[in-house]
Amino acid sequence: MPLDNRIIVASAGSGKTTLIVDDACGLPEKRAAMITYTNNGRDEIEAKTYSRFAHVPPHVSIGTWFSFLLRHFVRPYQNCLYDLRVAGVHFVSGQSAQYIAADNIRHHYFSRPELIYSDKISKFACEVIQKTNGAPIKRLEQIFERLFIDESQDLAGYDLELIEMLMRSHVEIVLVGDHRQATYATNSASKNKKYRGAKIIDKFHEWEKAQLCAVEYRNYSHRCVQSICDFADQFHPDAPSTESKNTDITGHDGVFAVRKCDVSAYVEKFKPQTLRYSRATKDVVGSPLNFGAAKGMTFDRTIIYPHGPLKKFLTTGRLADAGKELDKIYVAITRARQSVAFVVEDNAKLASLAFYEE
Amino acid sequence: MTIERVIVKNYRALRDADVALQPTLNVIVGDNETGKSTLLEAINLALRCQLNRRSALQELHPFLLNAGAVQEFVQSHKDGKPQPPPTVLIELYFANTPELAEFKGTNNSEKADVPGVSLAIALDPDFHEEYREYVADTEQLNGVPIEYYQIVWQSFAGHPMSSRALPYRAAMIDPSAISNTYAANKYVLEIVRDYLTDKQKVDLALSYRKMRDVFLSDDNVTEINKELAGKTGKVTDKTLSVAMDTTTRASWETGVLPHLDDIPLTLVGKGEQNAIKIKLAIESESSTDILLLEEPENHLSHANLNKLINHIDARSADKQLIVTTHSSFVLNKLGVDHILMFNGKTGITLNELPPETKKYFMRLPGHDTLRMVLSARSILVEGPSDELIVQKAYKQTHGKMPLEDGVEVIAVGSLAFKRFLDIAKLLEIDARVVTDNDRDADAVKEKYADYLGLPTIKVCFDSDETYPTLEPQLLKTTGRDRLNAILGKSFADDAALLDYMTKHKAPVALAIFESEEEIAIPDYIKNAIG
Repeated sequence: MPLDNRIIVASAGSGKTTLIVDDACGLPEKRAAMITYTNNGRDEIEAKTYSRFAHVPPHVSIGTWFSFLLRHFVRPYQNCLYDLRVAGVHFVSGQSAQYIAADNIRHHYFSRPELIYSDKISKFACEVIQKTNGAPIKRLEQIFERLFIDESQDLAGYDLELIEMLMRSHVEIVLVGDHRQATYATNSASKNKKYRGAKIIDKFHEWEKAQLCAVEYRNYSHRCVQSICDFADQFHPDAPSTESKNTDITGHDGVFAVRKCDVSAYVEKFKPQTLRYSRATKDVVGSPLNFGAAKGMTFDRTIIYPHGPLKKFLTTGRLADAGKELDKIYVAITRARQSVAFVVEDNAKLASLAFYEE
Repeated sequence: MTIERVIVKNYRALRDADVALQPTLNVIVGDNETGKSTLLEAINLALRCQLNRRSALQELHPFLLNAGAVQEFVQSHKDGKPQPPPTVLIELYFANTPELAEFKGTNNSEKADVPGVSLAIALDPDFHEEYREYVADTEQLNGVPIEYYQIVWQSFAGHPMSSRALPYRAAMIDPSAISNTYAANKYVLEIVRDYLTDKQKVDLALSYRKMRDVFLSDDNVTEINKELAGKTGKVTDKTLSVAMDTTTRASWETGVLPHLDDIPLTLVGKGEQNAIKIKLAIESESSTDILLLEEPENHLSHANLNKLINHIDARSADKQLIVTTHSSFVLNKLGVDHILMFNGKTGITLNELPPETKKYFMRLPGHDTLRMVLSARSILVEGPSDELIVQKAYKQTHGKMPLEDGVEVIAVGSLAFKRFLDIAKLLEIDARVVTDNDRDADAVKEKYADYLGLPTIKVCFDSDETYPTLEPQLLKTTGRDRLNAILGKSFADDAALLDYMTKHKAPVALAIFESEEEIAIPDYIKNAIG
């Protein structure tokens, strides 16, 4: 296997940000970049770096995936494809300019002349690498010894091609992520569609098989108590089960169902953070967060308003009923340290959960 | 970090320059007005985005754009064939070393995959509307709307540059640009500041601030302030007091003055000031890797210049030094092999000479080569007597000595003519050869066949083989009587006079040179001095 390439599949609450920060900052003789998908993620890494090292060491740089691509893969050699400086990114949620052929560089890749579509950046990067005989990779090898890519479950489309090329380079690549939390995707390109969402784990294993990297699991959680871990694990039966390292006992620990009529008393007593599937879920207590937006956050207690499929799952206990968005459900459940409460109808009959009783 | 190549387009005197630089020492020579200083300024601008030590954006003015380019632009609009607005482009190509990989990419006019920096002064697209109105009135159009221009400063990787981005520093020392005491002081302080480490700077600022506090707590000052406070209401309703100025951020710079032997540096002679600045910049090893030095010979006595050049030579081994000069002394001291002849478009080094010629000059560190390279025109002659006669002829024709016109008369010996002409050919120097025909005019023609017809080179000789050298030529034109008079002789026949002249070449030439009497100038010499 080239270098020490590795993919760390880390359960929620296993301290993966700390892991990256300590590893990258701890070896001053190896220049490193820490890259993540969202601005929030970048801020989180930066905050963690300050809290553990008091400053951002000069050998380390922190950035988002898009800015990293623009700075090191698009702009340095862009003029082999396109002359006007690529100034920024035009964010799209679906597929951009689907019906314009790739050889029409201007309109396939760009909205305004200087703005590249967000879903095409890594495709453009791959094209530049191919055209220049790998010049951006060679350049990167002179700048960084190690790359840490957080939230790697969000990588999609041509990102995966790029990552594979990086794994074959002299740069040591560390991907950190949790396929169970693949709530975002960096793009919606049709390339590599079969590895979308939680299926990214298949790609990880393919790379391991091709001896490009090792896949490690960090199957423990510093955050959630064991019963929360167990409950969340049901949604990904193929993944190894999670071991809790949280041994705190508060007298109200684990996963519960709360009848609507008891909610206000429950909230009064335990002060949980409200989580909901989306804004469509009305009449909720407190200041709710959507499932996806809660990613990366930690609370002592949560109260969750389930959406349709999750309600059905709670009733039947069958995974098939839980819908497609297992990633969001997994994220929602794994936010709490001590207790998770699901809001259910007063007359609900549940498969396994115990009702919270005053 | 070293600069390997500089490309400048439309910047001031430089319309289109492309210069290769050596990694260590570069001594740039060239005529006045060719843009030697502009080349240094352009390099400094692209390295620091500064003009006159201030942010370049604040210093933009229309004359930064090449006058010819502006003229063409204006004319094109008047002719109804509008050209795009002229753009300044300066590109510095660095040596391709791994620590500069961050600056590497193909965003340069050569599409070369090397580290580098580019600075463009170009129309800001946000002003397209205003620009459209500006050029619409072709009657009034007489220049470039610099107020609609922006500076785009980025690495060859296409990433925006900042002044601290480069891991190395450059210092520009341009003593001639300092006009007054205040500016000189500021300038020296900047260099001193460049020389200090960050920690030293902070310490200095702290000490200075502490001193201000001490001032305030001084008994006399406290007393005065108490008194002033008592006057509240008489002058103003607010409390009046005195304190040292605390407004500027790093105020030691306004209150601290470098001293030399206890004399404020601004009061020390200009020459010494310059020497200090140059030495400081060279000594600040940690921060300065590229040193741009403009005409170090300015304001310095010969002895001091000698010391300074020795210092530069000894201490700048690991730096890239780019020096402009007019002084053959400086050039000779720093080594003729480092010469970079700049003609406004490209720089030429001795490496481009035929190998034999290069070897000749390397063996013979020739002051004379430099005289030729630095001159407006050279007249190459065979020996000292020819030199004197040509000088005399020049003065007689033009009313002044050749050097006053920047014309060098150089005795090089006929064997070396071709070596000198190789340089003249390469550098396109105006050079004329005055040579004897030695009874074989065809042989002379053949010898110089390679140089005949070159625009800047002229080979002058008389094809009448009965007058093979200078002395018979002089006798032919001036005649025995005038020569007898000039030499204070009374030879009865031409043969005897010629025999005397040939046997006493130098004294004869000197006598002619010093005489008030005019001579009749042989045509081939006339040809050379015309």
